[in-house]
Amino acid sequence: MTVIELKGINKIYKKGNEEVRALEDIDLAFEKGKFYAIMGHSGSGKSTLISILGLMNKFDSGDYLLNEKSTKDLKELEASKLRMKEIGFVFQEFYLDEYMTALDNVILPMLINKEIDKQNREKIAIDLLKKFKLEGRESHLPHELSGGEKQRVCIARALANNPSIILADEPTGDLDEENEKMIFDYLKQLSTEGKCVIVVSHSNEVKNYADILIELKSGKLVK
Amino acid sequence: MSFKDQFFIVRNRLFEKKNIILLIVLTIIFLILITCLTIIQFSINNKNEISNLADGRTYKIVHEVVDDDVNNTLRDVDFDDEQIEKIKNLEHVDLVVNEKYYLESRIEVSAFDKGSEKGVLTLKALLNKDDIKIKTGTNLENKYELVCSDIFYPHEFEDRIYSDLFIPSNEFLDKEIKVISSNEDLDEKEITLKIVGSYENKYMETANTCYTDMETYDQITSKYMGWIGSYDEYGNLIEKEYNEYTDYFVVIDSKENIPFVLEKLREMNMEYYPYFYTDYSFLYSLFLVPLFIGLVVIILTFSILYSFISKKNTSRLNNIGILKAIGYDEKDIIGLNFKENVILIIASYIISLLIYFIVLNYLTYTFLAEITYNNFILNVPYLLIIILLILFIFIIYLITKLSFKKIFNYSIQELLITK
Repeated sequence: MTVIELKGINKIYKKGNEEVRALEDIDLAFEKGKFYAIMGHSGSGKSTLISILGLMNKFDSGDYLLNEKSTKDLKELEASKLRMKEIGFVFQEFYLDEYMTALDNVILPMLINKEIDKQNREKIAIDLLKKFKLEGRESHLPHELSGGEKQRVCIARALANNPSIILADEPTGDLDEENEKMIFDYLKQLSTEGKCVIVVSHSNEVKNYADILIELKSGKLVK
Repeated sequence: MSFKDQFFIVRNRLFEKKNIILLIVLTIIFLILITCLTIIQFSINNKNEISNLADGRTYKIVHEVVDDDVNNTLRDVDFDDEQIEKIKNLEHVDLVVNEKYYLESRIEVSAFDKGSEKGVLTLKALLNKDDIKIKTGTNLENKYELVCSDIFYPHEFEDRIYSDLFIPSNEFLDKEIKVISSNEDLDEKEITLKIVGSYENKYMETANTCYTDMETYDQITSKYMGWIGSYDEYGNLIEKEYNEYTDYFVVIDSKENIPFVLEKLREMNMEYYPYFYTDYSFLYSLFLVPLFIGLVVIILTFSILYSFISKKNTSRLNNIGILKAIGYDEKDIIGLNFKENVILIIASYIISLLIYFIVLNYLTYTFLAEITYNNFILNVPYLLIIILLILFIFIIYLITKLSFKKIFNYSIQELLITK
């Protein structure tokens, strides 16, 4: 089932008088239950593409349909709501709240989700941490966790509101080989559970997990 | 988002170094502002109190005649009843009364003795029932009744004031006390008085003052103002010459009519002196100086807080980016920061109020009592203090909103990559 459809997406950055075409005529469709790997060299437009997919950046022309609805004229409030409900982010640098424990970091997205019962938040967060083998780490602050553990907390947080799409931007960029494999395993597992997993990565390892490989070069899709 | 959920997020950040500094700065600012408000309130109270009393409308009158025997100089003579009647009948004159009833008398009351502290009251005659505002009980209706200060301290102010010597009105109301009269004509010197009410009083100096009717006042106090003794060559007292109360006081009905009445008194060869002198310019300075300081502090506070909060937000750009990425909207983020700042404001407010009350207590009961007999109670300006807190919460809301205006121009990606 298609959850995301990009139709002729263009994105231009302006640097003084100069225009940099970050994305050019991107047509793509993403389905639930599949693992997508977006690859490309530095400056190929991968990060721009994933930020547009995550409604963190606006495109200049074309259209982006999320669950068959156009996101072209979304207001900030609507975009925030969609990010909260439909999209979970996994970042290379984890971006965990340094002042919060692992458990609280996972609870954080649920605080603005009215569909989740207040009483259930902690249970959901504990279950998610268990799922990613973080039992006993609930009360640890991010600086007390290893890189691999932080990334697993980040994945657990991304899943807190049960979104249909997981966007991961270089999720293994700061991890060793062992942890890299573990993270890709988890992401793959999520796709088999029905999520649409889109991963931007430099790593060739991702090819072993991806159902569909998307390659970008100078903002264009490589067929 | 409920306050509990917001607190869940902000609680861990409350003890950040920046917040601790902000807490200290806010506490100092609040202390300055509450002090200014107390002085402003004090000057307002004083000004109102003085305006409400007849003080500014009271004149002491002296009857002078030219003494032909001593080089045509002026000589004071006693008033006769006819003259007093004439003054009483003048237009705009409210009251003409012998100076005896304008002065006060110190009486010892053993019923109020406590430990080594003697019970002492200052007795005054109530010339007009409207001169006092009854707080509990009733006003004077019969002879031998007293109405005392609601802040009741029936002792002399010497070295210091002891808080445990104050008596609440419910304890002294309906109490009967025995006093010894100084009236020379009375055979039975012991008089029983009953305290029937308390009047509103804001001044420490009158905390032991009780009013009675003029007739009772007459019975309790001496007929004479004082005496001058004649002594023999060995210093033994031979004779006492008593001075009677001869001067009178005139109370004019309103300040506007003062020139009219004074002109009439001049025509009657009366000399007059204002009985009370109030330094209004001092009261104005008491009002204006703290008002000016307070306004300057508020303006400075606005810029200090703006710079502080902006810096705090700038140091949290990454965190703001995280919140936005996981679905928090701008309103949620402003709300979180606003609540955090409100918690800091309330905490610093409580700390500053605690310090304020401790210092106020010390000043009221110890320090002020030692430097001057003219004690006064620094009233706590509760209403102004509440208004100040509301004003600060509003200021902090404006600052929080303004400080985020620039931040929300950044994209989430830009926010996230900020360290």
